[in-house]
Amino acid sequence: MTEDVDDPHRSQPAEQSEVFGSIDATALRKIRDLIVAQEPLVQTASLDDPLNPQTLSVELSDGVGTATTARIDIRWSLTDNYTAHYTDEQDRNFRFDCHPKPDAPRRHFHPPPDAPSRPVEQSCIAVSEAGLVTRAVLQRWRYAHTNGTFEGVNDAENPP
Amino acid sequence: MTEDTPPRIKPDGGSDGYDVNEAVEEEWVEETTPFDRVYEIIQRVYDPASAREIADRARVSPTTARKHLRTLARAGEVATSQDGQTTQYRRSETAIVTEHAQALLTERTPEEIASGIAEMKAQIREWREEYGVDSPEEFARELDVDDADRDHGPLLTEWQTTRRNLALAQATLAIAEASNSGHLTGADTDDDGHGDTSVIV
Repeated sequence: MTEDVDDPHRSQPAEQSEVFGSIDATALRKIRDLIVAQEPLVQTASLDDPLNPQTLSVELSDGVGTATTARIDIRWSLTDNYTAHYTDEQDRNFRFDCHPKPDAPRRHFHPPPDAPSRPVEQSCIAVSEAGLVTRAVLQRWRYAHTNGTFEGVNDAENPP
Repeated sequence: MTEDTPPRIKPDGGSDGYDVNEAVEEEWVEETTPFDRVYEIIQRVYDPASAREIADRARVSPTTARKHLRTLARAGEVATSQDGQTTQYRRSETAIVTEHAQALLTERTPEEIASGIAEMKAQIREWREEYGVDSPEEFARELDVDDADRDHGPLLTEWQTTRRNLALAQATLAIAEASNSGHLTGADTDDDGHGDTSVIV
């Protein structure tokens, strides 16, 4: 039996040029299928171009608070970088991101209402796997939707 | 109308805080088998990783991970390599191409894939000419891209993605043509690849 070495650090590409990395078409399809299975408010979930997908767009039949429609755009790279961008018909936005960003945490949150490039906050989403991050994003969206406010959308801990 | 699912209550009905990260992990483990999770993880492991690392990520024991990884390696889903005494695992190239091809061929005809290939090639040519560089890596060095949110970050990603998807689309088209000829399974068809169904690339 071979002895495995425990390496908690996920390997990152050596080339610094890979700022975000190629979008992983397979990951986007898995995320799409998971979202359709998990989220009843999904109207459509589709890749922008099946042949050369860059973004998965999920149309929701309701938004947060007074918004009546919303969309979550998801990008996922081969190197497990991602962005999940909520926007609604009132042009309110937030983003859960994970990618190298100078002077900012790798996992960061662009707050509502306009999700500016800076300043960002530390993201409450600490899990890394595509399936887990997808579930976490859905859970945070659902929290905001249920409570009708963006207040606390980036707080991991909610009262039970 | 809107049917809100209530937040999941911890099995112990705990009054402690409800943490999104713990909650989604619990949900994942509840809804899947250990094999499902090992397979889900390894499908996206492109750099070699040890069974122990995959076990951690899949929330299974190293022994369980090793057992399922061996099965997947025999099935061609996983490639192995040695790092000293440690066996390392990653998604095999064959599996990457096959999985992509299957997804693509349920959504697009070979003709559509062929025209998509031409578009991607033209797009890459256009970027090369516009920025005077041969590759996205050279582009990144020249323009000193260091923030995916700004400047040329999105274009860099799009270029790298397009290059990869072009390679995958070309492989998909080759698979479609080989399948179409019937020769892969020894079937005797009238179409030997020169009929009107064949695709000119």
